[in-house]
Order: sequence, then C-alpha cells, then structure tokens
Amino acid sequence: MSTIIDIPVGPQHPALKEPINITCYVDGEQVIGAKLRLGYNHRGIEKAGEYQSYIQNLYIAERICGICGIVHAFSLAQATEDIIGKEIPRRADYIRVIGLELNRIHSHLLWLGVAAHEIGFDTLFMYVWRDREIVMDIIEEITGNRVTYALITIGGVRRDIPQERAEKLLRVMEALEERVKKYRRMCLEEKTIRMRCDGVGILRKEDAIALCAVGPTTRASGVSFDVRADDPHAAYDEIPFNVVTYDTCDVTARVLVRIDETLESINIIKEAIKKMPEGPIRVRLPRVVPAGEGIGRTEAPRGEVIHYVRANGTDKPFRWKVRSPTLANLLSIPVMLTSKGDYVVNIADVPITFASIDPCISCTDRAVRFIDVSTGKSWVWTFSQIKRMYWRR
Amino acid sequence: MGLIDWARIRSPWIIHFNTGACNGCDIEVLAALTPRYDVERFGIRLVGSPRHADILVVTGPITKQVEKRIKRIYEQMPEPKFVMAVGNCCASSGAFRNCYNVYPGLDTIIPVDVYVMGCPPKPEAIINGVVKLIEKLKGGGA
Amino acid sequence: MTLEEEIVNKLKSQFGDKILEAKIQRARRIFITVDRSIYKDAIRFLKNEIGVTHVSTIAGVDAIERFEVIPLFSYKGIVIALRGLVPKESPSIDTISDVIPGAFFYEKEVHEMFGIDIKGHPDLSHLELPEDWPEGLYPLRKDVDLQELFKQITKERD
Repeated sequence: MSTIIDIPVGPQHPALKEPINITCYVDGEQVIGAKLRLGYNHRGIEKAGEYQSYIQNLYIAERICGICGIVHAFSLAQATEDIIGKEIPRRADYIRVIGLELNRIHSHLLWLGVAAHEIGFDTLFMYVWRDREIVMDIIEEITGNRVTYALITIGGVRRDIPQERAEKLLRVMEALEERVKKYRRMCLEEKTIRMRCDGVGILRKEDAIALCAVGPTTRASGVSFDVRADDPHAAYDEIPFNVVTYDTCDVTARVLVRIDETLESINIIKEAIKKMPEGPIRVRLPRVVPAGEGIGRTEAPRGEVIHYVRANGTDKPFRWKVRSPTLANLLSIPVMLTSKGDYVVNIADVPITFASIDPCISCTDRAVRFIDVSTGKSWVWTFSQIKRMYWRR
Repeated sequence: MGLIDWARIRSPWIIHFNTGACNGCDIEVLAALTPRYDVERFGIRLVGSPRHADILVVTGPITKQVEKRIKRIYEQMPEPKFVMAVGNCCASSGAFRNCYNVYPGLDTIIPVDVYVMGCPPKPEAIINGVVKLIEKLKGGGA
Repeated sequence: MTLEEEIVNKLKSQFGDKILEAKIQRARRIFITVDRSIYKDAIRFLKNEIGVTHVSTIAGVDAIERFEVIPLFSYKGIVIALRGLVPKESPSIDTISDVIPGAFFYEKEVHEMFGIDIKGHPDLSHLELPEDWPEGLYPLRKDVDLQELFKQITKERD
C-alpha cells in the first residue's frame, strides 16, 4: 500500500538556485517516478478569514482561484447558511446553478485550449479561446464581470436574470452547443490528438479511489463521483443531468469527460432557465452568525470543493477551512508519471499528463528537474522546452 | 529615437510571470493574445526566457516563496527593460491585504513602470497598459 | 431509518460512550466527536464496516481549550465529520494515511499550520509554508497574531 504514494521530499540540488516544483526521475527516456513541491501560491487566506467578516470573505473566496472563483463563494455561503439554518429563495438556487454551470463551461473550454497548447496544437487553442469569448460575454452580461462574478451573497444572489437576458442566454447556449460538438468530433478523430493522449497519464480506478481523486480526473478512471448528483445542492435536485464517466483512465478520457460535461452544462442551463421560478433572489440574513459549524460543497470544474466553517456568534468566522480540488488531484500525479510493467511514461508525456488534471496553480511555464537514475545526471527543462523538443508541430 | 528603440517599439517581446496569483489576471493576459483581442497584431510576442524579453508582465500578489525568483528574472533581463504590474494584487496586495505570506506590492521588490488596475483588469485594459508602455518607450524610457 | 441514522447507530453500537457526540445537522451532514484514543479505530471502522473510501479534507481547529482534528469523509454524498479531540499539553494524533492514502497532504497541512504531530505519517515536511519559515511558528494557532506573521514579510509600505 505504501508504494502507491512514494512522494519523498529530498534536498534541493545545490547547483539550482530556483525552487523546482516538479522533479522527474528518469532512466534514459522513461520516467520512473516524480515528486512535487507545493507552496508557490500559499497566501494565508484562512488566517486572514478569521479577521474579516463573512461578506468580506466571500470576495476573498472568489479570488482563491480566478478560474473557478464562484465555487468558493458558493461553498462559503452554503456553509454559513447551514449554520444560520435558514433556507434561501428558490429563484436564487437556480441563478446559482446558472452561475456555476457557466463557470464550468468557460473553465472546460479554457482547459481544452491549454491542453491543445500542451500537445503542440496551437491552432486548436486559438479556436477554442475565440469561442470561449462567447461565454465570457454572456457571463459579463449576467453578472457584470468576466472573471470574478460577485454573484453570490449570504442569503442568495446579488443580481437577478431578467427575462430578455435569460432568452439571450438560451440562444448563446444553443450556438455554443454546435461548436462544442465540433470539438468533440475533432478530439475523437484527429490522429495526432489521439496519439498524444491515448494511453498516456494512466490513473487506475483503484488508485483514483485510494488517493481520493476528484472531478474529471477520477471520472475518467471510471469513478462516478460528482457532488451535484451525490449531494444535491442549490437547484441540482430538480434538474436532471448525466454524470459523465469514461473508463480508459488516460488523458483522452479526461478530455472527453470535460467536453461531454460541457454539453451537459449547456443542457443544465437550458433546463434551469425553463424551470426557474419567480420570487425574491435573496433573504436578509444576520451579520452575526450564531455558534455552530457548517460544510459547503459543490462540484467545481476540477472536482469536489469543500469548505468548513466554524462560527462563534460574531460577524467573523472562528475558523474557515478551504480545500480546493487541485490539491486532491496532485497526489495522483506521481502515480501517473511512474512507468510500471507495460505502462511506459516518456518525458514527452510529462506536460500533458500534468495538464490533464487541470491544475489550478499558476499558468507560468513550469520547470521540471530531471534526474537520470542510471547516469546520475540532473538537468532542468521547462514545459515549453519539452514541447519544442518532442512536438515539432 | 535610435534604431534599437524603433525596433523595440515595432515588436516588444514580453515575458509573463505569475507570482502566486489566483490566475484571474493570467487568463485575461492570455485572452489578450487570442483572436478576439489579438495583441500579437501589434508585434507583441510572448517569449519564454527573460534574456530575450523587453517587458516583464507580472500578475499576482508576490508570495514569500517567489520573491527571490522574480528578482532573478528581473536581473536576467537585458537593459532597457520595463515592468508592467497587472492587477490590484501587484499594485498593493489587493484582496490579500490580511494575508501573511504576501508582499504589499510588486514595487517593494522591483521597479514598476506601468500599473494596470483591476481585479482582474479586462483584456482591453491590459492592452491599454501595453500601449502606455510603448509610449513610455518612445519617450526613451523616461 | 435514514442512511445517516444507520451510520450513527453503527458507530454507537461499536464504540459506545467513546462517541462523545453525534449530530445529524441536516440531510447528508453528520458531525461526530470522538476521544483521540479511538480516532483511528473509528476511521478504520468507517472504512472496513461502512465502506468509506473518500476523505475530502482534514480541518485542524484551535478551539482554545484544545485542538481538534476533523477529517471530512464523503460516503454516498453524505459528509461525515469525525472530530478527534487533541489536548494542548500533548498535541499529537495518529496518522490515517495508512488507512486512507488520500489523507497524506491534508495531515501535512494540519501539522505545519497547528504544530500537531501526526504520529506515523511518512513525511511531515512543509506542504505550503516556505522552507525558511521559522521553526515553531504555527500560523493558524489562535495565540499567533496576524501582525506577528506579517513580520515574516520584510518589506514595509507606508
């Protein structure tokens, strides 16, 4: 059992002054192990949260991750609403779902472009990000912002979706659906994509479960874990949708899970618009939250996000714990990068394998330290260098 | 205006570095490169090495782990070099004012030429920042 | 009987009054408090007898009179918070990473933020704090003030 996580943390190589985040152990061209070093993004948000009001924390929550910020605002709001013990208006639940699903769509399209870039397919990256702008536009119309929506408040949502806007959203979703179906065909049929993604970055089902992976990473390994279905929240209990799983456990499966989920999200939004009831969009809740504890949880684009809140009868949380989905999935990276038996991991596979979990860390060109165990040599290549060397497209 | 200045204005080469950002600014910087905004038509190119870059575009609140790294990247850039701080976090730690692992602004670590405010700033604002920087370049780096 | 009630009953019949508190807050939210002495056994029981495999995170809490280590498990959509009480005079608790490997990172984080020793954990080096962070400074402890932590950032701004 202990060989599943072989994540040793050793000394830094004396010649390298920079902290290297990823270390890959190689034997010739084959990768036989990897270790990660985190902390790049550690800011100290949980401590800050204890000195700020719940409402202030909603804003900082949304900036935990700029790509999926709304899931953090939602989780904090849900945990706090559970402690207070009041239900929020039903219309607010539906608007929250629309916000969450629009966020999933933009995030998955963003990822698709970035993944295309990682396998040397820059044209696809440009096409996808051009189409993503359609989603960014409608997000801006609905929430007032492109990236940090400030849509969710404790007790509901801050903005309503008037009828004409809802109708426009419906038209945008229909147009988008056609484009996403095109990308799906492309990813299934384009030989270069299949060659670079099939059989790469394998995470077996039993490892995904043991390592508690989440989101598309685990669903591509056949694990049917989706917080929207397992722990229905907001309006997900009234909107039917499919949990997308594939069982090939490789990068291709992760691509398809995300594309299919984008199509599901489009359907969820269409349903939500149809079923959204009239009524208020928020209920006024007290600034001071009575003593208690609550857990907020949703399915972010990357997987389960969970917040724990402990209140102490003041207007500031006593304790606020955040677990982003990427942390849950990082544990699986060393396993995906370890050659074993018939499963061979090449250096060329490293960038796309890392990208396939959709890591919500920085977008900076990642440096990888390689250590050849047979020669003892050690060197550093960045992702772009690896791509230039192996993918000549 | 010398030949080198003119050439640099024709196509400024940019290196982008994230110092612990939430990625909000990063995706808007990246969006500026994509067809809708297409900052590449101005000749702006994203490069991977500081040794080839004219402009350092920084996003994020500078975390403690990253301080030495951003300084080194700045030192590796050849003169004349310019720094663009994108986002409120770069200017003043932004939303992370009460966070203990974050510096109160990029200009406490390296000199900054242009600040693009916003949380995150829209791609249009980022392009505007680049234009302002080019104007500064035209003025001989003043 | 709901699934939540079933789980609570099974734990109570196995561990009796070592289950100090068991609360079903609402559908799919169970909060259980146990003494540290049965913390690991209770988690083994959750895994082997009930079939829990997923730990979502582990929240450390400095509750002034004591520490708390609260793994949040997910089972069929139900969140089971299993709180282990940790006295401040002897801040340590058993690792569960040999029972559920996914707990590996979360236990590192509890250790570096609160200074709670996780007995048997294979690697308690820092997960997120910088390497040159002062020894013995645990940011999330209540007796560590934010201003004291700001001293780690050496640049003054007027």
